[in-house]
Amino acid sequence: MKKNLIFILLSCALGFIFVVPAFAKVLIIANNSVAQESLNKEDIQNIFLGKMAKWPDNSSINFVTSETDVHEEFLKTYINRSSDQFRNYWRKMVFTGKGQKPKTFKTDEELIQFVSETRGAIGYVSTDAPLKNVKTITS
Amino acid sequence: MKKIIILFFICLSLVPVGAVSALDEFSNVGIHGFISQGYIQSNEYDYSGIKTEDGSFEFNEMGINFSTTPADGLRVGAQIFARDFGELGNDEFEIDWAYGDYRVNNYFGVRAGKVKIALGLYNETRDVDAVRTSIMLPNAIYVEQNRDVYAGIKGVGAYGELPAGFSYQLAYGVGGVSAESNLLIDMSTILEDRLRTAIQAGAAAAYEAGALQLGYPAALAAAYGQQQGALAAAEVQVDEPSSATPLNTQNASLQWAPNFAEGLRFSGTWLFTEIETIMDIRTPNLTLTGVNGGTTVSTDVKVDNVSSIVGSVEYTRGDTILSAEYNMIRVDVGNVLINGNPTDIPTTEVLGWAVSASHRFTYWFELGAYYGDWVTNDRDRDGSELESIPGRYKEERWLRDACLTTRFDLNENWIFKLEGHYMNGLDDVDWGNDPDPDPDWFLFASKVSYNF
Repeated sequence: MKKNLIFILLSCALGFIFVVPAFAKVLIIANNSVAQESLNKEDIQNIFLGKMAKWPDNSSINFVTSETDVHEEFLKTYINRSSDQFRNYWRKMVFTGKGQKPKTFKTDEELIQFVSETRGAIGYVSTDAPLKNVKTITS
Repeated sequence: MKKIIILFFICLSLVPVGAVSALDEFSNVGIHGFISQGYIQSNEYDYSGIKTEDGSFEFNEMGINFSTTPADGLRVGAQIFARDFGELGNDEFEIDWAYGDYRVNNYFGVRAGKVKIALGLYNETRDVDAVRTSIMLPNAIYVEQNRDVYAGIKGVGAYGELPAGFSYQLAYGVGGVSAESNLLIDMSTILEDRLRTAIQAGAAAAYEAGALQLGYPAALAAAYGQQQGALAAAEVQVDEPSSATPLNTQNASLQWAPNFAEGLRFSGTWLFTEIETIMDIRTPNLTLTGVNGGTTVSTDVKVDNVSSIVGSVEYTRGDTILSAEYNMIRVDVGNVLINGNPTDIPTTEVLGWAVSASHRFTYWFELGAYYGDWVTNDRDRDGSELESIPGRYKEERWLRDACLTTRFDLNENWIFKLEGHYMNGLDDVDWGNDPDPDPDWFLFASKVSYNF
């Protein structure tokens, strides 16, 4: 009985460790021209699925994706799709002419540099990435 | 030219994907493509115009597209596409889509050029093997032989996202069609059946009346009328269309992904099109002395209304996708002038439904299954009307398809698939000279595809 209790407590603790930091590991960043300070999950999902193409001031949204470890975390947290499903979604868009694949970056540094230099840009990096000339968006 | 393009595809598949991506990065021109080659075999009979009984490699498709954003909010692009599906396609390249797209705001965007038709959940991507689990989509919803009608519209369109998870798409212009479309071939069969019945009754009555006028006894006159009616019916023949021209076409799609139910989406889509066809129609020569052969006349037949409505629901949870779709096609021909006589052709309603499920077990393996049921005339679901015509079988009225399919992602670009179908029915099946065709049969398909 005691053994079972310890096992349950350990499982809960491990679950906590694995689940809670999921949000915390991903940081949404945007170009300083973006007026928004926060976005809800639905907006973030719509942006990265190409459904929301304009900021509220009607300037174009330029979203980019990452190839780092944070990508899977981001998709799970905000897009509710696996990387295969996300890739398939963009294949459908590309092969029907409805969209162009988002630019993708191999490192956080490259992505941050692009976002800092591109008007209307939005992307995501890991929380420990060194931010420079970009703003963070809360969700 | 065709060989050059195919060679181009082969070369592209050998180019590292990174090189194509690099072009994308530097030039703002996205270049993407796909090519697939399949093999299809049935245990008996040929299916859907492919020599499946012997096994066939005439089962492939390829497409390449270019797109760019020359100005803020404006995107232009085009895709060329070719397929070989037995008697259809034959690897002839065509413009699959080519349009300019201007996004005014989140709620409204416009498109002009040739756009894809939204019908059901998967019609727009039906040619792209890489985006689904199965090789073939359920024929009950996505009839391969009707692809030309459902491929695209040349004209203008609008689209956008609406609050509460709704999105819409509209298109208006001229559609596509080919004389080989199943819709038209089925229509010619219906026209022939209808015409035969009408001419048989008319001729029988006319010759019976004539015999009575000449003083024949009633029983003899009736028998003579029946005999001439049968002879007249035997002369009736409606060939498959020799040409088909699409006219006014409209397409609308409304999708709803409710915010309160993650992974759920509903879709309602509608397509309306008018088609002008030319068919050779043979009718009997009714002379004073009896039926004397027949005459074939090339006849204009205008299909007033081919409309399709598809209602769909899809639910995605984790790596599992479930879907259900219902398809209703209505074909209205109206009056056809045959030898100067208006002949009314009844409306035909074609019904289909399908349910499917797929699950991705690992990054490289996916398993799926679907069941589809397709009836070519709702007024004759059990095929009894069809069976009353000599040489026809009731099982021609439907096709039921239970499919089990597997997908192996060798990497991000290469995919291999295997699937089996248990079929019941003879619609779209060629059983050759078999005097007693078996409505239960099996189909096997495999396909390898590459995309970048």
